[in-house]
Amino acid sequence: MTAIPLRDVLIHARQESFRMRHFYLGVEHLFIALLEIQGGLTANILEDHGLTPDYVIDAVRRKSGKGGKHRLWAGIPNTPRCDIVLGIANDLALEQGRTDIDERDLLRAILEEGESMPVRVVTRLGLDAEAFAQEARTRTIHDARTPSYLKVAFGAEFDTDDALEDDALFILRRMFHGYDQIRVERRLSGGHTGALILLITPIHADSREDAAVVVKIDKADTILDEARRYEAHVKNTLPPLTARVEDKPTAPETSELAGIRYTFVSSDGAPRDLGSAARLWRASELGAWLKSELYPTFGKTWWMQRRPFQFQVWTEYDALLPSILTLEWVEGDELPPNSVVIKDPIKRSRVQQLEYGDLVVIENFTVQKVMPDRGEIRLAIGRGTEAARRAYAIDVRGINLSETMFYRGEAVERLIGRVYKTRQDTLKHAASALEPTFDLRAETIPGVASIERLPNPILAYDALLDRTIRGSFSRIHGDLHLGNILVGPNDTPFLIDFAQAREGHPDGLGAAGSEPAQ
Amino acid sequence: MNVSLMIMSGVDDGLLLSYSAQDDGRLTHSEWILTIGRRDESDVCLRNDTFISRDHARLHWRDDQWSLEDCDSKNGTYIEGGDDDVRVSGTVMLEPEQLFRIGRTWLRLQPHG
Repeated sequence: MTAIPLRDVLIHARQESFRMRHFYLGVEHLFIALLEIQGGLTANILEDHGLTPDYVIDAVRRKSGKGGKHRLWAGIPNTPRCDIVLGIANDLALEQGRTDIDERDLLRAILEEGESMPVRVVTRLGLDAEAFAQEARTRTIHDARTPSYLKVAFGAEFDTDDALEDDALFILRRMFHGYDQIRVERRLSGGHTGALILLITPIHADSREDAAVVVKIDKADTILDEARRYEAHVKNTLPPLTARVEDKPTAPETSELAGIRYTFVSSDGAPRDLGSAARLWRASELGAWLKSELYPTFGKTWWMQRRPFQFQVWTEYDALLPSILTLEWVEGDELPPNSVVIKDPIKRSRVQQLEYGDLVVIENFTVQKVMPDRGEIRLAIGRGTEAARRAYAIDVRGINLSETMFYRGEAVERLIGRVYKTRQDTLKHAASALEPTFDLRAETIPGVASIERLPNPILAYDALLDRTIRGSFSRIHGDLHLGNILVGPNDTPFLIDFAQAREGHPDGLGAAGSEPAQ
Repeated sequence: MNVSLMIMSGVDDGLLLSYSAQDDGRLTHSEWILTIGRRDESDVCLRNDTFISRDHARLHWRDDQWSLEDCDSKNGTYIEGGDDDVRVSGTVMLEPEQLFRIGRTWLRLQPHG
């Protein structure tokens, strides 16, 4: 494959400018166009640094934001910085005895100019600009790369009926590049998120086996987010002997999936998840292990770091519930008459009263997720990627995403839709699907051993969200379950899966240290 | 006293704007103020961004220090933060080379204005 010429890059760059309603040609559009070249030089380098082109493209888009509704000028003028960059690229081409600028000249010029938004963005994502420039100068351009062949074997405990999909194998081959073989020992039970978690032994060409590692494979965005959370919240708080994320995630540009690898400092014997371990233990053994191993090992820097924290329940817990509203998208952004406007602060009671088909306008939300295959996006209230801890999510369906672009982290000033279903509908539907033997509409439902009746959660949860709780604040894992607590050799406890790690409220309602505030 | 602002995004990305205390803005015995907005009379007039209010923000030079004041603009004034941009309410100190955003337009105080 030869280097892509400038004129082809410009076609993509102009399209990007139109999609973003910018109507000028800037360095950000050139950079995104370079990243959109399949197997191109720029994507290739970023990928080796554990960044997918899509992730970087969305980060650049977030920085500049979509333009307004009105065009203020004719044509597509170049920005002053774009002219400077094209000038440098032209010089670079001439130095090589060429008259036409290619993708390498352009990338080198962007990095040499060095002050543009995309360069700022990749630097902030942890890429060293000098190393990037060095690679841009020296790396050869070739076809979509064929990873060297890595043998994949399966251990006796791996359930071969539940084979790995090609996408996952592709990630594994890339991740263990340099080894001769890997042995997939077994699956560890994943969380509710549907991530694939595997225990893998890497094997060298001389049959020497390295210590087993745990690999998690999930959607690329999720994995890259987890790597960031690990850096921010987890890395410096772990006990000396535990699972660590040592490498950058493996995120090939040609796959929607990515992988992350947890290595263990203690090396002999493979860990198993607590779910499997608990099956072999008596209840008292499990209790003793939690108390004498898990809690002391992680407690000190995690949930025992309690600071007083008073909060409204919804701020910490609304995110665990289904989206508050699902809308059918309506094109345009003129405010229709008789529409209900939803914006911060959200009045839940008002949202719950909405009925199928009602016109709704939502204002100042952030795109959390784009699901192109379903024509659906998820929005959360507020700004930024952490938008109010993802409370009050709204799903919007029926969008032709190839015509109307949305990107993760985009601030949406206004969006119109018709009510498709409310959270109450979703919860009732999910509860009915369980075919309960009691009336779902009753105030109370059958209880447990010592309590005859319990409040019906479907009717009771909403009021609870508005309670103010006096609790504590600490570093939390956020998704602790039997699948991501691991039991290693000598019953050492390990934690994996830091995709929800953050600072927040660590204990369940009613647990020690939490009480309703006056 | 002179200062330069570099436009860091949008259609004017890369444009350098220069101001002097003698000719631009308002100079009192204690401070020098530059107004930023879409209005023609703004000292820093940014017409090419519809997200900018007519009187959007002000730069203050006082006690050898720059600060940035948001004038209750509709779409806000922001300072570049770690993960997310931080919205300015009231007045904040501004370091040289710090990026700040007026509407959708990023600007930077040039270090050797």
